Amino acid sequence: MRRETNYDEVFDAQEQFRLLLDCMARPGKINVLPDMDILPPAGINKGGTLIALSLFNADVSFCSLADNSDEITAYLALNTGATVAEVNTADYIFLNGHQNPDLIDSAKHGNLSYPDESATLIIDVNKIATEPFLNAIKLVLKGPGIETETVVFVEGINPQLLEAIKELNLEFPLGIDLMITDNQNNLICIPRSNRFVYSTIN
Amino acid sequence: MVENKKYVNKYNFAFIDEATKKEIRRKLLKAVAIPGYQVPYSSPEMPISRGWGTGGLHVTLAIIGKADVFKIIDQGSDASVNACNLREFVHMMTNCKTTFDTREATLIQTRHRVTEEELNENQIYIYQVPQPEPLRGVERYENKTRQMHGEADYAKMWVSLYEQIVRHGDIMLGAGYPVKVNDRYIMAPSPIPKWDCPNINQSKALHLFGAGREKRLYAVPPHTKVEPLEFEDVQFHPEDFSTRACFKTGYNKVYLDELYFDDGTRHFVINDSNFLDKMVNHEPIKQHSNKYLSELKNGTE
Amino acid sequence: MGYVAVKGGTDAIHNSHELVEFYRLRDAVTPIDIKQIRSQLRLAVDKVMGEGGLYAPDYAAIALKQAEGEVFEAAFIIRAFRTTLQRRFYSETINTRELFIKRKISASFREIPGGQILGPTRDYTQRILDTGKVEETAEDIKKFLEVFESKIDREKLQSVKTYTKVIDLLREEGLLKPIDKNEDRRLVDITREAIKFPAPRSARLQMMARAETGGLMAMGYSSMRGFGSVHPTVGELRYGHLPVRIKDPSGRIRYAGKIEITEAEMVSSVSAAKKNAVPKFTIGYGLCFGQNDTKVICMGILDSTMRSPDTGSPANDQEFVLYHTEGIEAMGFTNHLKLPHYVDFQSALSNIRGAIERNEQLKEGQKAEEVTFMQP
Repeated sequence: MRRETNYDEVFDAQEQFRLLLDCMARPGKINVLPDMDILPPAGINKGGTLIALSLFNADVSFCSLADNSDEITAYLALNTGATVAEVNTADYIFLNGHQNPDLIDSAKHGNLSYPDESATLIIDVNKIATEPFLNAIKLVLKGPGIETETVVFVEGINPQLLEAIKELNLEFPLGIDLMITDNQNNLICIPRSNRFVYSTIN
Repeated sequence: MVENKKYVNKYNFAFIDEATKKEIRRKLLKAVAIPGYQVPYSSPEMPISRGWGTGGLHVTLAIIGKADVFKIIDQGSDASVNACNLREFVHMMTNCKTTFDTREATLIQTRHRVTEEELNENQIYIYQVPQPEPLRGVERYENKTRQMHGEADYAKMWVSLYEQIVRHGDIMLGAGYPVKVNDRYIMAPSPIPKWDCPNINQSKALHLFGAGREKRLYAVPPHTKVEPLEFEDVQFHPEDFSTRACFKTGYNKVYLDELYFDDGTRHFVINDSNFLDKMVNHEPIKQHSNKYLSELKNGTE
Repeated sequence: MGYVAVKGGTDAIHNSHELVEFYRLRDAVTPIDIKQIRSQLRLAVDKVMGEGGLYAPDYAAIALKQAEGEVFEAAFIIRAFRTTLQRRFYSETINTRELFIKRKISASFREIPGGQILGPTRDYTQRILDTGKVEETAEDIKKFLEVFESKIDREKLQSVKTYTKVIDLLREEGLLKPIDKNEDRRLVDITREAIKFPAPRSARLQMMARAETGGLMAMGYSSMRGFGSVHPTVGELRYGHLPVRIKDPSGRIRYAGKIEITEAEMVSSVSAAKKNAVPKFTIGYGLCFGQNDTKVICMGILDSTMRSPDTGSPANDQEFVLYHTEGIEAMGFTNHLKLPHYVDFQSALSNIRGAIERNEQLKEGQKAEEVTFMQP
């Protein structure tokens, strides 16, 4: 298990946060996270790892549902100091796009007075692109941050998971927010304020 | 005895410690995800008084990087003493380039104005907010206003506006006019004049709000609907400058300051100092466009 | 170019900074030493540490010097300084039964375990302006200290141990109301997250420990005087120093140092809510850095009042008490009124002018109506 020493807590964290902020403010917009010299265990993208490194510290809790979650959990705890939690109390939940949607049913989605006390999902997928490609799912997003609509293509996400997310985000302002990365360090965010429809490209 | 050596190079980049910056960043992401909702945050003390822009500073310092170009205005002016003080502080803590040019800036911190020049997608606009709770005037308890927002129960607000119309023939709210964001939350846009409210609507820039003393952050993402509260028969209207004009430029499709000269005569001048400079120097300026501005007759430019 | 104006603003600030230094020093005979402030302005240092939320007497003394003795300003400087410090440890729970007693009184019993110890208090001094202080010399100080120290019985001092608390006596006898099962006992840290209402007791006590003494006093007094119902007795008030321990990364408990604190346990009786239920006593708790009786007493009163919410009495209203006794925030916001507000004011002018105009039009209209009425 590697202790990441190449990560600059001040400037790398700031730079990556700005990309996250831009993605969250412009849902579906693809930003590319820098290709840093870090070595996360199998089952988590570098992109997802960078999100953790830039946002986490001892004040947050997380939970990994990904395959190989034990190793991922130990790695993230070591490198961020964040505490490990169950899925129903975690501030951040890591999972793989192909995973079973039931896993996130109990993710916290806030309460009406404090809807921000809710989880953020960090999802690993294979590929994110602005142009259609084979086996991709086409996502059409609408809502705050988008002038008319944004179209983005994602491969490696389970339609049932998207369905489960829609379900969790039915009662705005309650809900969860998504950060999706692929194995090329592409990043998109989908906040709960947005509505999306999806279709499969063959 | 205290050793002075301790003070050498002791401040972190952007003053705030990294753990607190991360907390502010996490809260900002939630704020953006729930437009208009006030996210509580730790709001550490700054070396600037509470009520003097600490919230704006928290946001600025939590997001600023080495490549940013920073502009700060107070009451529309780059020259205001508090703006000068905060500009020096941010520059001292980050060594970032500062500017007065609205278009050149990547981060613009403001107290009580939106620039007249249109903002673009590469800019983040940061408001210093004294009172983040638009409902505070009708409900003093935080616990209750939280519930009202949660249930979108804004009846008390509407009744208060209605009473003002009955009594005075108009909605008497001025700076800090309440707006509805994304058809959901009523939000305090900070004490900007009514003139500026339409310029947050469907803006290309991201707007972030920091209320330090009250420990709240909130946001309006780009391309988000922001509507001033109004009734069908009594509608929102910005301040009226149609019968005045800037004494330096003759222009009047902007927010004007009212000045009194030594001889007691009254004059008006463009409030936005950078806009005024550019106009005087005949530099190109792209102003915001909104339905209220387009209804105005052309200025006597 | 408008840039000239910008330069003007910056120059004005810089000149004002220089003037501040000038006014601080202009009639200065000798510079005040930080040690002098620490020792001879002890209570001011205590206040600055308490309201600044940082136990650091030297830094508090520097802040006082820098702020020309303005306690609010000095506390503010300390708060801002605190922001730049990283929190490396959380202390182990402090046990005030370990207090090394310098002062200990109870108003509720004539005698208490260990006796009443007045300690250093101005309570029974006559507040007559002592013009003799003008003549005080270093020699006088030295002489006084020598005489005083010669009177101290070292052995007896060593034997001073800790004493049973008055509340322990009350508790043993079953006079204290047990902790309400519904009491919110979460431990939050108000310096890491914004307070949320209703706030748990931990947050209320933390807020008050950093609150401004005068603010707490006004609120506590209001409850006793008539805008509330709590009129407690000082169960016990203690001043002394306490060990602070931390757990190091290897898990070993280590002694970090000692802090001076004042602690109050205020006893008040509560009438039972239910019929036939037995009335009991409750304890209102107060603790702050350094020696400050007023602060802990009022904190104790307000701890009690806030546990029975009542929006009719300001002191029983959490949001009212906690938001408005926060001195640093209150001071900042009160002073922000000095900042220019001409943009907002222009907006208000526009509204008022509009209303006056409408009113005049209305009057004109009415006059016209009257005229038509008179005609036939």
